[in-house]
Amino acid sequence: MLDDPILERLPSGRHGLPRDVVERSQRGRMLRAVLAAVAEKGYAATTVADVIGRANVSRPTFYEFWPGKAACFAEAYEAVLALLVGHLEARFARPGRWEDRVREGLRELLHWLSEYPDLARVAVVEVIASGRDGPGRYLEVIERFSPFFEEGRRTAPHGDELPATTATVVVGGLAGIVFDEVAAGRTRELPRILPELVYAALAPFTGHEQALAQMELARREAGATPEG
Amino acid sequence: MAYACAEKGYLATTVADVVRRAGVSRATFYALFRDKEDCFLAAYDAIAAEFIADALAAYRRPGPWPARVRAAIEAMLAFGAERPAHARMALIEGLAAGSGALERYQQLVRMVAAFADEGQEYAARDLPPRIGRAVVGGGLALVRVEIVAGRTERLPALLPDLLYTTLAPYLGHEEAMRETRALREELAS
Repeated sequence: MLDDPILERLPSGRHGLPRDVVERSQRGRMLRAVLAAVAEKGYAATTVADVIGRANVSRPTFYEFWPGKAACFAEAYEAVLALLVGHLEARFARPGRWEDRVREGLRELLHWLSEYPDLARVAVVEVIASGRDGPGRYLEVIERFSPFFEEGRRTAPHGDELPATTATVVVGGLAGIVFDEVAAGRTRELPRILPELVYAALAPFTGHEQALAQMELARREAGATPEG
Repeated sequence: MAYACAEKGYLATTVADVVRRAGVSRATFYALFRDKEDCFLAAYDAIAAEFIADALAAYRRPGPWPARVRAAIEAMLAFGAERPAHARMALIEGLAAGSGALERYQQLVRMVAAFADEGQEYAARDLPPRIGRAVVGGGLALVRVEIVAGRTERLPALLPDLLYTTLAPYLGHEEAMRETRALREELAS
């Protein structure tokens, strides 16, 4: 596991720690290292040597945990996705109107991605190309995020008429917009596109007017906070 | 190249796979291409050009905008159904083959998004930016489900959903639904 994660930097080469703690920290360092390496070099070019070099562990240590790069990456990626989805689920479970929760959830998502550009690059751009399981991983992301939007059907004026694929289409559309930003290296500025994402997420369910109102709300809220 | 990639993925494909399938010598390969990536990019360009030419030919026919959108989507889905290896290369392997391929993939997406965004002219209201990109991203998600599942022959069945998805942001729910119902009735008869 990455634990809480990702960014916690365990000092390397510290002595006097119990063996399982050292192992956990080595494991955590390697999981973080594979994500950083894939973000920087792409999945294809990343090697086990990159991972152990960044994590400052030996090659045998790496192979104690995983048979190769693919397995190490799979574990790190799963941990990141679980963290991200869990985070959003918690945000989404709060009470409130669906439209407001979508706006808040998307804000949270963009904020999170902008804080961790390496993870954003891996989760948004590299994922589909991450070896044989990559395309399946991409589809899983789409599937994991769809339920947040499926809920909109119940309150939509024409909910029963909307195609069954609507939530998938919405998530794919949002993913496409975010993909362009991350691929262009504008990950830090992702929160700026919140108003557009809010519109794209809501309009298929609520129609144009309500989606526009939520988009304006997102814009005003961004203007009200200095870091927005 | 496309067939080797479809079978093994770009990462696992070697120059040896390509020359064996093409029935040419290694020397011939290297006379034409610098390396595997160079060959992949040349194949990508050729496939993307044909794909766009097919879609444009359908889209530029005279007629009302919804009918032209329908014809373009139909042409794109037919391309994928008839050429599964090429579809996989364009939409999946293109993201595994380095920055040159990524740039080409994005260019392809931008072109299709620009077609969709011509809908702005027919929209009764001002729309926020990047609606065309969202339309393409949404359609791609549905198309990729079929490609990854190895069901490319079923791509043409996505036509009604993709038509609705493409028209609705610009024309609104009612009109997009009317067009989609008419299409479904036509397909059923």
